[in-house]
Amino acid sequence: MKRWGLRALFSVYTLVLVACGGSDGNGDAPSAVADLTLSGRVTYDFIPLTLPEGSEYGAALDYSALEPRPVRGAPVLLLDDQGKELANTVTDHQGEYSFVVPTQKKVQVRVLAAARQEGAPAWNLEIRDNTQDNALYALDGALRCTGEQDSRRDLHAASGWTHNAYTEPRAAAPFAVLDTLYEGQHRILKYSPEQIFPPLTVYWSVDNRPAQGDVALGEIGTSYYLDGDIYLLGAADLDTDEFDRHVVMHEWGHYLEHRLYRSDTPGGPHSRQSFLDMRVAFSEGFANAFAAMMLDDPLFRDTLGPVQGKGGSFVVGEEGAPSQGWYSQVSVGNIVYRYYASEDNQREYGFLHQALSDQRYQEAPSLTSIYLFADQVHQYRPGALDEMLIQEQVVGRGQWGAGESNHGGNDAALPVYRGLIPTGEHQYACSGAQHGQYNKLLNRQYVALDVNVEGEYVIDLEADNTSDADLGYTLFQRGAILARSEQQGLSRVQHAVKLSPDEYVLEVYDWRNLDANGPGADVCITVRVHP
Amino acid sequence: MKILCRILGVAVCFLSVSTSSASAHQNASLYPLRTHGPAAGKPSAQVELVDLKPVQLRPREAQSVTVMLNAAYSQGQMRVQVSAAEPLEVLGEQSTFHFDLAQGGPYSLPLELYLPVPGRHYVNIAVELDSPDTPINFRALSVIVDGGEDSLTAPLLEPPTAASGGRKIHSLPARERVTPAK
Repeated sequence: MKRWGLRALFSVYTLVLVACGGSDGNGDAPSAVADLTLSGRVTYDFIPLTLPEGSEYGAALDYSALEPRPVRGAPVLLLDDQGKELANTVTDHQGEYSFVVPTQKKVQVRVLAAARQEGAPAWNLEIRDNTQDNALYALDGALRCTGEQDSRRDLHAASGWTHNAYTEPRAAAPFAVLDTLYEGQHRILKYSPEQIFPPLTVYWSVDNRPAQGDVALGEIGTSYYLDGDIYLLGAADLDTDEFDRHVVMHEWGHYLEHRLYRSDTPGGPHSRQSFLDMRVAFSEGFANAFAAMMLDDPLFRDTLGPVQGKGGSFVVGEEGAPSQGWYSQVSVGNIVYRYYASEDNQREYGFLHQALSDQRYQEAPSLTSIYLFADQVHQYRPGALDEMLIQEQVVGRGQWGAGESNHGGNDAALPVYRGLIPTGEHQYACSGAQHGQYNKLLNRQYVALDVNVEGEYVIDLEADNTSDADLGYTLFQRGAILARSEQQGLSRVQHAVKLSPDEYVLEVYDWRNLDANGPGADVCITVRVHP
Repeated sequence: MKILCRILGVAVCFLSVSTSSASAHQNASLYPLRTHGPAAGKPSAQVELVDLKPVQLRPREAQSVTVMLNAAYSQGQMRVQVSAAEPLEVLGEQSTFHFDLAQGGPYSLPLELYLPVPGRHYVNIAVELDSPDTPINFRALSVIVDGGEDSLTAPLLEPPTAASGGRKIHSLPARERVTPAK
């Protein structure tokens, strides 16, 4: 009886001291409590792009050239067997992390698909799954005993690609996106070491497909940026973008333009041959050039299709624009990238970052366009873009595009801004849908309104054909929407507004030309602003 | 009279005068107002579905459906391949279509679809363009097929989400290598 009691007492004593229960299989006798180092390296599968066989302009993911790359700047958590966080750290530039841990304790290493920094510089970037309640992606190691000696746990996020298909969890994807953005972020920090990046969430899912519907089901339509969030396609054998770094950087370029610089674009569909609203042309052209600049690679590629083996490419800076001009995203991309790569600029993004972050640019009275961009650059480097502008048939100069003669095939597109002072004189502008609707050249016309005296004024729009018009307007003050008409179906609009002395932009249109699904309309408008 | 005041250091009041019959209505096609439409999408070939509304299908009944495409190009050729993931089936002989872009759109894809069970599924459309107007000559699109109640989702390969410290986590399994430290 006594012997049985002693044995039981020893067993309990052993259980208390050997917390992992001998799970390491060593059968060692319990030792004194001590701190150990638990370290490791976190990596992910990077899949490069290649040119498909027999293709001159194509793009494909090259799974045969898959290579491990470090997960940089990601939060690493040490969790106990209840999932409670015991400690946290961040992976370094090599993907390395390190913890001090007690002996004989079951712990798990978790790496978040995120990047966080407070203070200055600062950032808060997360990769989430929009089809799983916006859950944050995390790479999880197994729950294991720390044992009695220092150890390493190297965690790898695999691509999930085996035997010519994705058959395993696609763990690498969120970390591939994270790493592309890490690279861009640190490129900016090189020039602006105390840069504060506003929070950004990137949504990616294996279910994100090119169907337009419910984003919670992955029906995101395409990869895009919207109001502080980026959505990326991930549907295998249809269209995936997690490894298409130019696509990721293009969307990040929109984020920077919107959150750090200035963006007036109304967005919408666009292509290289579109005759675009100047704001859209600038935003899309800049985003293409931005991707090329951040990756120092002007070959913009996008893969899709079965085994991600199809796709297209174009060379930013060398594209032959089908229609060169201030309304062409290709021309804008060419101008911006050529300047970046020029002898004058030497492939340094810092100057452009500072120019676009400048208050003068952000608070300019005109709208964002290649004109405003060039005008801003020329403030610091006079004439630097002149040759590139001429090459792309952008004739106008100054932020208002004064003297532009390239009308894109319809002289109703000029002047770029019609000047108006609010004394009752009028301007004449025609809204049309020759190039398509919503965000195309001619849909919206711009009037530069110069107010010298504070007071109440009437915005007075009248269609030349009063039986068939649907007029509307938006009034901008240095990029901010000050007022806009809401009611539709009007052939005459008269709205009173109180204005202080400043320069404004009055955008006028026929609503039918802003309807992407409608037939459009050709309507000429007499524009007056009077007391 | 509708009066609206904005705060930007300037007071703005609207006096709306209608000179023709007007019925105020929402313009649902303005992209920034849509809950899910792209504001700034990636560069891609400009081929779009004419109608974004889901196709309604009655389960266990083969149905003819015509999908229409628009393409913003006036020269070259367009090849369209249609497919679907199980259980949705694309019946009939033709799943590949060829179009001469000079003819102009919209372009019709007459399909026969069969869905054995209710749920939400997709017809996948792979477009290949041979046109001097675009170097990005591929586009992928999906048509939503609504087969009634009980939306089925494909089983995920990854483990289900778990709560961790109040933050929802989508856990991805790591390939872990454990070694004694040197």
